[in-house]
Amino acid sequence: MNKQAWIQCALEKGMDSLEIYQSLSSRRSMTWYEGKLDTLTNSRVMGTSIRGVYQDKMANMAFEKIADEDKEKVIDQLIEQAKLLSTKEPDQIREPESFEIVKKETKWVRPSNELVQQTLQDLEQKLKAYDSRILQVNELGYEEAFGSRCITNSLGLDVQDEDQMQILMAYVVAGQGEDVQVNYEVEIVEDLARFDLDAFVKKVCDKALEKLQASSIPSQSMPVIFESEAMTSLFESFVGLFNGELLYKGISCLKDKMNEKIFSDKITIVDDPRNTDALSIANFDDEGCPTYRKTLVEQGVFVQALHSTKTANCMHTQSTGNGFKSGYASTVGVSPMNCQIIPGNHSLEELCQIMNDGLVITDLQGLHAGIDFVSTNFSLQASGYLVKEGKRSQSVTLITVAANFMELMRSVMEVGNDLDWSYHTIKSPSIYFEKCAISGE
Amino acid sequence: MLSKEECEVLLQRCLKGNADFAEIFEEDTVSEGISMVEGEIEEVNRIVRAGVGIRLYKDVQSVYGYTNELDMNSLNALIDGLRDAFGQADHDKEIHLERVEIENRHPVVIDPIEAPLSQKTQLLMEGYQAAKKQDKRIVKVTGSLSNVHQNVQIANTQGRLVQDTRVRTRLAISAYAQEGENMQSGSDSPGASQGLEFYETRTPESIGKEAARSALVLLEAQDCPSGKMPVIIDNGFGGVIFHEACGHSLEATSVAKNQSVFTGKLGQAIANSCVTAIDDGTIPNAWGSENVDDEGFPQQKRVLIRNGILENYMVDRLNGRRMNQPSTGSARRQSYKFEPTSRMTNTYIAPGKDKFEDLFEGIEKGLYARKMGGGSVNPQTGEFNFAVNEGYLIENGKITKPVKGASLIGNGKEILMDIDRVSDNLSRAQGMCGSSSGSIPVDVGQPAIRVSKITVGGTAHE
Repeated sequence: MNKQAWIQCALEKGMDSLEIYQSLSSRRSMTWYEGKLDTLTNSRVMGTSIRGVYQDKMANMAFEKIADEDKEKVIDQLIEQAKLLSTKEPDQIREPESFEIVKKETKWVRPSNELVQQTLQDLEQKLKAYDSRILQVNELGYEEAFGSRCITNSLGLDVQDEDQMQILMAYVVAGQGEDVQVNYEVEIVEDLARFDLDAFVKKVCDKALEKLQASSIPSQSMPVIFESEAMTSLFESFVGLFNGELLYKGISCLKDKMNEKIFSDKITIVDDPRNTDALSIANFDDEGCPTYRKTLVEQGVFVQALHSTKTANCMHTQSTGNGFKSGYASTVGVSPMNCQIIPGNHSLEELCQIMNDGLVITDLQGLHAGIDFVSTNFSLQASGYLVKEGKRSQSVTLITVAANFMELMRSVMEVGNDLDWSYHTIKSPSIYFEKCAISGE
Repeated sequence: MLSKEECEVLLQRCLKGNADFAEIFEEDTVSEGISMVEGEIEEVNRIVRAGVGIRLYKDVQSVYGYTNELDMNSLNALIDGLRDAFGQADHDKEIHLERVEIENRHPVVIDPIEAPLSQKTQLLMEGYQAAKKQDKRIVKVTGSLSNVHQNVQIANTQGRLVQDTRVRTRLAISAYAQEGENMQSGSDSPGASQGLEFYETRTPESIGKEAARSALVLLEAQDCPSGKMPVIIDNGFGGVIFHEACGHSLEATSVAKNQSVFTGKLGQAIANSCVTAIDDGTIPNAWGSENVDDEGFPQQKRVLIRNGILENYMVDRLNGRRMNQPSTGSARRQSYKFEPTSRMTNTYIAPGKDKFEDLFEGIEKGLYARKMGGGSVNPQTGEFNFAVNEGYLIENGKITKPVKGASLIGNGKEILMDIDRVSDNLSRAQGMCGSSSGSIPVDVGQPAIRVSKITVGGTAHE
């Protein structure tokens, strides 16, 4: 693609500016089932997204098939689009800025097809042999993804970077009598040849086995600990409260709450796309704006929202470098990257001892439906275990947990110290809350 | 699109190794999203997707590759990489493709991609104005119009070459109602495999009004009680209960590998005898319809459960090999970036004999779920959950106060047996369903049904 020719064409036709965003993604994955390779997938896709400003309005298009001779037609369509927009605040693409580059030192070793298949075979055998109650290995797979992005614009911005990951996943079924439970785990694998299969097998199977013999409990209001994974999925569902776009539109209930105490003073939230403890980092967002570490909530006080260039313009502030796309073809939105609730001092076991009697929720289901983002009410299917006299007791399933997220985050008793990023870009440690409404029998 | 001859050459290359079947899926798709906030057109995004997905089988093993590099050299390289997964060999098999003509059951009058932008933004404005003028407590209205025009071509080593065009449009309006600190939202989002003429029958005004009505009801709603109780689930999107609690567990994706509670249950009673359930991909212009599935088989009407007895699963070609059953035309995928698998299309519970009012007879205390949200299921355990967006208490056989913040949970096996009354007012509603082959449009539907007992998760405790 002759990018300069596209830029020149856009400027000649009267556009104020033009940006070309390209991403190349390639993937290899393999799954294993009942002693054989089940599926293998290879892919390579290049996507191009073009956006530009015409009379202060931003127009967008994206292509998987594009040729230089299409440029006149595409630019005309962009101008036609921009003329139709009626937003009041001017939108813009970004001037180039200098920034320091942080590097994450991960030594990815790309395994051969043969090594992957051998590992999956070993893994299947180990999982099945772990315990007679492991009935089936439903899904066993390896996946690697490589992505690169490149942003060029008519103001002279020209940045690019790459990202990579390799993961192993396993999904097992445990059963005893009529009772059937499942567990799914994902682990990052830098070097498959040196990966500790036995530790992974133990983690996958133990969690499935622990869920057996679970039952529902009577409906009641009780003290609850959301274990790290469950708390992470809840936090992920509500992290949009800090999204500048939703604040501007008045859909986030934090509108007009800047510098107010919104959560318990035990809660501090930080977003840092350059945090090298996380799986991926980004030195710039999908508009080319440099990223940095920022505190969103400081001991319960709301101090900073997340912004892209557009939402920052709307709210008369600066972009926080959180203008990210959900895929190359989507328009630039606002999203957190490597955002965490800062861990406290206690392990999960200590939280259970402090709570003494209550419920630990390890798993939440139906998060795409059971959450009302506007009122922040939620009611979700959950499972976990009871804690009696500080110790793990009966496993619990088929219950719902319901609360209002804002009220819940004001009733924090303790924050755990068990934050492990794994493959997440949003993460919370375990949190112990005063009480939640549990529905069951 | 690749020519017939190019497809033949590529398919022959696929079978050079040890594969016993190969398929090429190609698509050329234009999609467009237009968003509106408070009567302002905020964003337009138009996306042109084009690519090829190639799949090879050896018995029940499958390798899949996809790319948007469509020159023959790149496609040959992709095939060679896939073929090697089944080991080296040098077989020569000639492929002759025969073009299969498919009758179009889903006519389009005004193509939603080709129509002028101004005509499309007008629809959003009409929806906005209708919602806004319902009540002064409607403080904000947002909307989006999504249109897609997908051309697909599917060729396989059995000599079949099929083309299909899928055109869809959907208008979503969300209204936000506020009184003091209390803010609630309501929405409506109908769609169809049709052009913009769809909005002549389902007017933007009716969509805006419904969104506002739902938000206003919730302003008055109290916390929902918890516990096991009888629940009446209304028609239309209420059908999400069958979709989640049972539909996913009848897809060959989970049945074939013994990962469903309904594996091996054909011919057995799995639901109350008042339940007949159907998955029909042929309904003219319905949101989840298409002329052929994503493996090129004609779409079908499938009776899944007849009078409580399990009659059919939804089967794709690969899982059909595992189950020793023919495909039921159920293979679907989001795009060429996904390998297809068995999925639902337009799934609904057939109408019964009861009148809506009769369902409430004898309920001392229960929940009437008028509008459902989405949900999810684990097919292995049958455990499901879904959200009630707009609910009302039933007290002594009558609908009383609105309630909010409820979800329903249970086990698919049990709930199908606990459906004890089915009314006669069948309707369908639109949704997007996510699973291993991506996010696809589906209709859910049912007449109002009564479930004798189900766990309601609410926030109020007495």
